[in-house]
Amino acid sequence: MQAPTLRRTTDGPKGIHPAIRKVWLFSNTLSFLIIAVITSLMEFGFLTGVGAPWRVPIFMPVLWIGCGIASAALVKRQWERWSYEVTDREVILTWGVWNQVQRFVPRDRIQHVDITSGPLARKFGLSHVHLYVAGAHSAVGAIPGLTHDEAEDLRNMLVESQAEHV
Amino acid sequence: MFEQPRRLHPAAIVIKFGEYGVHTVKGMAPAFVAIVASGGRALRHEMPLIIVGFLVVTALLTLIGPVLHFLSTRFYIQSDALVISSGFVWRKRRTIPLARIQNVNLQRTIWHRILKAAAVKIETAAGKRSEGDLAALSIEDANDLQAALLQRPASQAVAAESAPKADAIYVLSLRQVFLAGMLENRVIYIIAGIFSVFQFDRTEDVMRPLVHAMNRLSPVAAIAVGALSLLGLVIVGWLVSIAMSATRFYGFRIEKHERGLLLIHGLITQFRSIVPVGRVQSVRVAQPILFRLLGYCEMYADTAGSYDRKDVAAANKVCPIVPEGSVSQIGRHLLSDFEFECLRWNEVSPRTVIRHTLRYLLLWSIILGYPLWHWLHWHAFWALIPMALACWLSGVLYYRFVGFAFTSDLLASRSGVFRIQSVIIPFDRIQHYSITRSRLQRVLGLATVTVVSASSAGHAIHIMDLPTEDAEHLRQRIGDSIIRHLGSRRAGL
Repeated sequence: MQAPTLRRTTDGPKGIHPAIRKVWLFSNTLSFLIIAVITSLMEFGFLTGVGAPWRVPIFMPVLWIGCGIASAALVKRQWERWSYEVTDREVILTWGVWNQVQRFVPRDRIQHVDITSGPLARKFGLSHVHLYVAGAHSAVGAIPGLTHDEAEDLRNMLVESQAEHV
Repeated sequence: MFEQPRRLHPAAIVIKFGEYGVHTVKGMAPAFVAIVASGGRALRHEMPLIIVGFLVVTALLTLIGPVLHFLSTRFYIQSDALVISSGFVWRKRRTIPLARIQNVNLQRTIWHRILKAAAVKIETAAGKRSEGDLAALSIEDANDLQAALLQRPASQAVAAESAPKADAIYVLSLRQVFLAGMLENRVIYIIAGIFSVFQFDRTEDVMRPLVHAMNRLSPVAAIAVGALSLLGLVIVGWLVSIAMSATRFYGFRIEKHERGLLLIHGLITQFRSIVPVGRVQSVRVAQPILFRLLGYCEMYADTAGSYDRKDVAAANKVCPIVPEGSVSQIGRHLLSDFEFECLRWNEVSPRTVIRHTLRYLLLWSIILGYPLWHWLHWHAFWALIPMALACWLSGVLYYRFVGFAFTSDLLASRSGVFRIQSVIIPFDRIQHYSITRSRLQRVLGLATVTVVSASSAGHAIHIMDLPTEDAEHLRQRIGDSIIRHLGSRRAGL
């Protein structure tokens, strides 16, 4: 019998917090803006270098702002697609709009779990949970947009399963 | 017996001198060649003096490092850890806990053999290179140290070193060693070498007469000369490749060792390295086209950490050439229940051909689109027909060789056209697995199953373009098999 306070599974797939949309929107906008500015400067340098009559960069700003708008339009779909589930034997992560991925990590293969929280995510009270297995240099799964309590809960669930399987 | 700090064998100076010398010569050769080539005419009389002076100064400078290395390096075992202290100006003290040591290799180059010494290389699971490197120890010390580090009686170790060649699992005949060399061709290296000569030929002493001679020939003769010299290059590349293979793999044999498989080979430098069987995560069997035509393949074993990468010419190669029928003979020692010849290969969905065709057509259209448009304008669209045909053909070829197989213990996938590679991962070594479906795959009702082990070389199983239902069945089977094998894992990963 399991202890009533400590859950072992999530009882079905769970979505992530809707506030993550704002985090993604803001960070996407910021990164596309930075890329747009840098590439525009490069375009300006190129146009000046070849002695073009028209030196105001157009191509790069339009390209990257276009990409930024497209990614902003996908944020809602991206959020809808993200879900995670902890079953008796594995952690199932589902994500992706264009390439749809469903990843299965057997519970006893999990070596350690990280909880991280960037400045932007922290402002919305969100954390990311990263799962690590042996042999991989980076996390095999990073579940974004969990509240601090949810993240702690998930960590405890997975760490407890470790203790049981050893 | 290693409690007191000890020095290396004096042979270390010679060995390190050789190592540093190679590095120095490699680093300085281009500059040296450039000086000689550009100043060849002007300083003709002083040239021998410059060359000799350059060599002497380089040798003296190179000698400083090895002498300092010998004087400053000490090693000892202290409270269950090997400590290696080295460095004269920047002192370094490395402590390797004995429990963390995965592997201890003894290496004897021709210089070691002349000077009656051996190099000891100590590996942990951490890095890609050996973590402890003792350039030269006397043979007795090397054997004792290996035994002490692996925590087994020294007498056993010495016995193991001098054991009769009785329990060989696999031995390469001289014919097979030559064949391994013949099936590769190192012509590319030779062409690169020739180009590098022209690169430094500033005075054009070589290039100009060659161009003149070619100009004087008739077109037919020029083409014939070109073809003949290319043929000559290929033959030389072939001979070089045979010679390299023969020196490296001479006397190749695989023996059983208490920590795994022991690979012994080499004519000039003798390699003895251990494949730690307990850490094997996946086994790969590769068949380049020439190997396949003659019924041979190469075998690799990927481990969680690494074993000496310089072992058998390429990363993790266990055997450079194996007849198709003998793969399981070696494989059985790497993974239990390894039956390569008995695997029943399943096909993926034929719709993979459509996906391949569309994918490559799009890719080539993007790459060739602009040049073709520039050249042919609207007629460029006609080029789509042969391009589509070629992409479809490559898709059909891909479909012909791709496949996956499983037994109750193993999962295997196979892909490639010119170089068919099969990756075999036991269920108890799977770390995680995924089902991926791209936009086009969703339209065609297909999915890709990816299975990843803990091997540091990162060779995962990718089973592309399975029908969605089959992918789901396979996924369930993998999940069930992992649970079934939970208790049987050997290396704690």
